[in-house]
Amino acid sequence: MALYHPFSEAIASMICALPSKILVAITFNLSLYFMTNLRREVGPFFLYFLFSFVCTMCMSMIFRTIGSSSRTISQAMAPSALITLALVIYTGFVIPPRDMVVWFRWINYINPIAYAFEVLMVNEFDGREFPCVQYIPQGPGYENSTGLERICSVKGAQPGLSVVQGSAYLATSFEYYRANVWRYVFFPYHHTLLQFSYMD
Amino acid sequence: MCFFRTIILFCNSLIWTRDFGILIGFTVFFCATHLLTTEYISAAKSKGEVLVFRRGHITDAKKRAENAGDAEAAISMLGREANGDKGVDDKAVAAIQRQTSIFHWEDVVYDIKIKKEPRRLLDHIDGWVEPGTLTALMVRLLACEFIRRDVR
Repeated sequence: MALYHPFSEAIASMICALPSKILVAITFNLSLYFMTNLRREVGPFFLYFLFSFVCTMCMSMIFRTIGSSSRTISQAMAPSALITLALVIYTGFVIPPRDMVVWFRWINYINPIAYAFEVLMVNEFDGREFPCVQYIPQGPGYENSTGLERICSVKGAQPGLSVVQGSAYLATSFEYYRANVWRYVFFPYHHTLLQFSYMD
Repeated sequence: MCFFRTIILFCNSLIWTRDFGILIGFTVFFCATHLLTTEYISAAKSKGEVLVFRRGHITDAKKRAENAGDAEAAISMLGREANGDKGVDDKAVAAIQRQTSIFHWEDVVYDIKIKKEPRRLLDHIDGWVEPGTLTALMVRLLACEFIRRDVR
């Protein structure tokens, strides 16, 4: 018995969820962005906000689809747990895209969080230069090495340069454990994406 | 694309527009699947329906009261007589014959006037009601006017 189509109630539910989503996005992203001292520029901030919100909406739609295509709660729990795990692991942070095994690489391509993550990474790193903290070679006997004799110990470094291009770093690798200086930059994104993938 | 240079800092690559498009595409796609699945896949029916007042069924408590003829039951009987209420006795309810005849109708036509224009609510309707059940007749109106009190 249905005088209204079920999808009209679904649309109403989506609209009713919007204000709380916007409120959460504003409070969460504002505090996170400035507490972690991400790029203090207008453009990158709004781009960050836009992408994290669109990502929220996208994940919300995915989970709504899972929920509405299953008949019971237990039926919905299993696939949503599996899909969440796959999406988080194959975002590109836990496993950098270049280290993904070939037969699971496709998960990265159908992963909406991966696209948002890519944009957020470029948003933060592109066009920036980071001063080098640790050089290779290092240790006794190499204190006086200068110029082309040494290189920064970070992926994307070039011999003779005392800075590392953010874009070069991005292009080379996401291996954060070698870049101690920038480690903090990664965590906020990771947690943002985790947080948003579990929302709704 | 360098028109956007002040806003978007990586204007050399189209990564921003491409990824934004992909994300919006994902969102729209899953929104559509969500609406479709909502429409066509219904949730499992709840199995909570229980007929509370079954015909001829006497609860254990009532049976005990009748057998023992305890004070409470006696008082309630007295009260009923005092009020002059000759209502149906419990035993009489249990003794009502089970109805087996089927109520049915045919060619029922029902016309009403809404805003001075005639409208036919029931158009040569045939039907029947199973004995011992409660049947609700529901009408979906083209015009959104409630005339519930006219339809019995």
